Amino acid sequence: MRGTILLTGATGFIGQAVVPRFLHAGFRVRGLLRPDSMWPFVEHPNLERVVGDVRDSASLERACEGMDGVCHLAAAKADEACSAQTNVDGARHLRFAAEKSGMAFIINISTQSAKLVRRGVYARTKAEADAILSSASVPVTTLYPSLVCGGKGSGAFETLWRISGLPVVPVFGGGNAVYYPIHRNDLAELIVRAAHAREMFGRSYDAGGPEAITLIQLIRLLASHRGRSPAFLPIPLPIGLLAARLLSFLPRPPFTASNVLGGAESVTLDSSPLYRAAAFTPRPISRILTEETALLKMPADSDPVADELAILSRYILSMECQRWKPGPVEAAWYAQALRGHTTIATHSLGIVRRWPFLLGGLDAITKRFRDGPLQKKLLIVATIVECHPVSAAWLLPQDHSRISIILLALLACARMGGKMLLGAFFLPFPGFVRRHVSHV
Amino acid sequence: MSHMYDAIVIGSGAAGVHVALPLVEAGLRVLMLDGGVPAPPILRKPPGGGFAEFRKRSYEQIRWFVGEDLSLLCSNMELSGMVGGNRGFVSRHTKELLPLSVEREDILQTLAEGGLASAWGGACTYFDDATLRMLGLPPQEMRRAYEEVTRVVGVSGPQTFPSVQPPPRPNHHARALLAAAAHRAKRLALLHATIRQPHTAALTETLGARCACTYNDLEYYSDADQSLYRAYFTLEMLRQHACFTYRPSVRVERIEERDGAAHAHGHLFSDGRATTAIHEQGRTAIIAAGAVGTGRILLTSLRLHETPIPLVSMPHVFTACLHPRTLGHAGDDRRSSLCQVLATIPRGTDHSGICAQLYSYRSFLLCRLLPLLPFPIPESLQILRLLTPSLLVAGIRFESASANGTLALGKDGALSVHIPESTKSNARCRKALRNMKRVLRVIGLMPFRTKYMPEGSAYHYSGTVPITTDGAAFLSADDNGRVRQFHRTYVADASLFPMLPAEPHTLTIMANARRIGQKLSVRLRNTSCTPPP
Repeated sequence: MRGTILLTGATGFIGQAVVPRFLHAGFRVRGLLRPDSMWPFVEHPNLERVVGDVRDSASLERACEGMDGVCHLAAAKADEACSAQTNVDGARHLRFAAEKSGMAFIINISTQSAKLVRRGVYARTKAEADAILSSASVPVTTLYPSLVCGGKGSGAFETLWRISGLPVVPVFGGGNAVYYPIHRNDLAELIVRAAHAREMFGRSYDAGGPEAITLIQLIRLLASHRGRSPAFLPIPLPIGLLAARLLSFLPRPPFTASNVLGGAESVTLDSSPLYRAAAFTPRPISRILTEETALLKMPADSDPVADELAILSRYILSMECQRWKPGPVEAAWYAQALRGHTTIATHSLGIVRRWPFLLGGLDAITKRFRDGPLQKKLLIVATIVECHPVSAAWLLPQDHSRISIILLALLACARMGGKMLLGAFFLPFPGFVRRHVSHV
Repeated sequence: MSHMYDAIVIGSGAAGVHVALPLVEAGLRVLMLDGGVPAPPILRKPPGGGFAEFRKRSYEQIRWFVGEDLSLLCSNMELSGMVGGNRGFVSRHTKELLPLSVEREDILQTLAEGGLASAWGGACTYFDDATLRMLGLPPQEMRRAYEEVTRVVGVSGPQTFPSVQPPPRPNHHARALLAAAAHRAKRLALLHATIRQPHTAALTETLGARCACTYNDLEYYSDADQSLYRAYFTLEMLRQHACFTYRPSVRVERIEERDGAAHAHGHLFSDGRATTAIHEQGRTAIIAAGAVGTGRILLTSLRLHETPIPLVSMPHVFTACLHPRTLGHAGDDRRSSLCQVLATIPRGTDHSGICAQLYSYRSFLLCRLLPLLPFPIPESLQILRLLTPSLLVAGIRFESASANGTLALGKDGALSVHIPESTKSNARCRKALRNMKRVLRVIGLMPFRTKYMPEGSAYHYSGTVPITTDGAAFLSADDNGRVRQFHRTYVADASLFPMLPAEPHTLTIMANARRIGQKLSVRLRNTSCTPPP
């Protein structure tokens, strides 16, 4: 065994790639999991999850106990208060906890934008966090990644892929900022190697890809993979910042001031010391593009069980708990629940898979057929959802005023009425309905 | 020749451990043969914190609330039976090892360590002399046995019986219901109803190594603090005695008496398959395998195929109630999940005795109620979510004044159970239920949905070897528990009760087992012929 390591932000974009690599390298990994996040990993004897939050110093201290090192990936990019708490206070708590539990090393994943001259909230708070951690008595290895791409889900690369499909692409401040794109898996490899190499402890490294590319060039390359050549609309920086400011009032703004600033100024970096120290060179841009665009062009998830669980759980929780996204653990539960029940397991959602909103109507008119495969499946998924910490909080008894109970109940009745109406449209297609209610 | 024990006890449930305890305390050599399927380790794991905290934190909660085998979810969705969640292990391997043919009935057998009492809700009643006489038990001896068993088990509740611990703190529902009952005492008296806090086998003060109730609302799912009594606690106590031998993974099939000894024949089993045959002998054999199990062993021993013997099975229904007074209040977070209020109506001329155990719904899964509501799933869940704090479930049990079913051993060795009349078609039960609903309304509840459970699903059986004075029934026992067809074979479990009162009777099973064990220990000591080991 190599040692034990704690990962903050294990469930995040980079963390999801780092965790399996640490496990593969023989580490015992403890992932810090926020109480409201889903755990995206399959079970592994050397993988342990600890519920906590970098903002909560007590939970972080508990998580640090008995660990040789920590890899700090947790960061917030959204609004100001949260960034300050997660990035700055989080770093402070981590430094304290690491010193207290006598850790051998900290690997801090910062960002290139922390080196910018004009910084947004994210960059500023990350720079502050770096300063806090570097003053720790524990040796800190700091990596400054540039644009990280790869994998589906979140990440800046997927956003770029989406905008490359537009006929006119707005770029802030000329779009001549230079990036050094690095593949997520390569960054993960570098992080794992940094945890091995004692001579790297206490030093800072740039962690970009081997080649530089400007934003405009990158989008043009992406668009060429789609067979398009978009026009670019340069937007002056002040206008971009103003737009970001206005959009920041939305619950999930499409871009933030940090994005605007990050796209306007370039930083030159030299990652070769890191490659030498870690004895690993990441893949070039051309390979990233061919691999990743192929991945992004692929339609949906290929696992039908996980896919079905995702559709049904989204329907059951509707607007209530959007954080609940089934991972491999939940998919395994669902598969286990269906095991041995052939009629239910072979039932397919069919057309509903393409238009999930039809599920409401189907549910409303099949409700009487409790033994039918659709209702059974819905009940199984409802149980899985109920027995899960992320969604359980919503179902626990709460104080309500009587008026809110009446209003919420009326709302539920109205939604039910809608579903009944929708269900009535299926009645002319009895074969379609029968498929979901028959249990023979 | 194999070792000669003073007594062979078959079964480790509520009756088995309490019949063995006085024998072991008297220094007699006791062998316990038991299915001994262990509880999953999760049951002993402390949840850490209260219910809400556990729900918000634990990723393992599905294993607690649904059980280790998630594939049971599909068939076990509804509010069916009483044994749910991680207590489902009590029926492991029974399908393969204890073949049973039933039609509509839902009969639970067990090979678990601690027997069916591993899934016990802890409700206790001290029966009055009249009820004890109906059960065929001598009231004087039972008073003493009740008192002794109370000290072993640890019972809390109203101070109407000696050595009972103070009652647990009632939750907000119970407080409101008890206050309403006190306020409307006159109307309840007209209905002959009694509303009270029940006695429960949960500690409110420490007892030995066991802790007082921590009010974490997870008593049913975790034995970590050992506040709620389980028969295996006593089994662990027994195993510390040198003269007690415990042999798990054994299915006992028959008893044979020859050469002045009782011989128990059976098979060891592993992974649901019988393997090696085993044979043990003792000066006496005490069967405490539950009414169905004891019936099976005795019928096989006497080779009585296709001969039906009586079976008493308790009819029961679940009624979901709304408590409008508590609408909108989340209620206490620190509470116990056990039955907090007991409503009873004694038997009348045209209705049977009835007893309702009221449980706040909080610590059960909402999903189990979803099939009861006619709305689409998300809306049902939303509505239930709003109502949970004021939702109660009444587990309603009816008295069975006589055997209502039969048990017979088929030629192939499979046991068949037949209960002809359903609860729903029984006029006396329906009348009693109507009266009970009236009582529930008087104390401020709104019963809105009643689910008739399949016959046998209360998992309370008795009457297969009833205590009779004249030996009229085919298989019967005297009031010392000795089976009339044998000389040295005794029965110590609920098989002895010719009827079942509506009120919880598990404590009476334990007290009666203790009484039988005590009498037997005196007799065995006086006639001791084997030297001590």
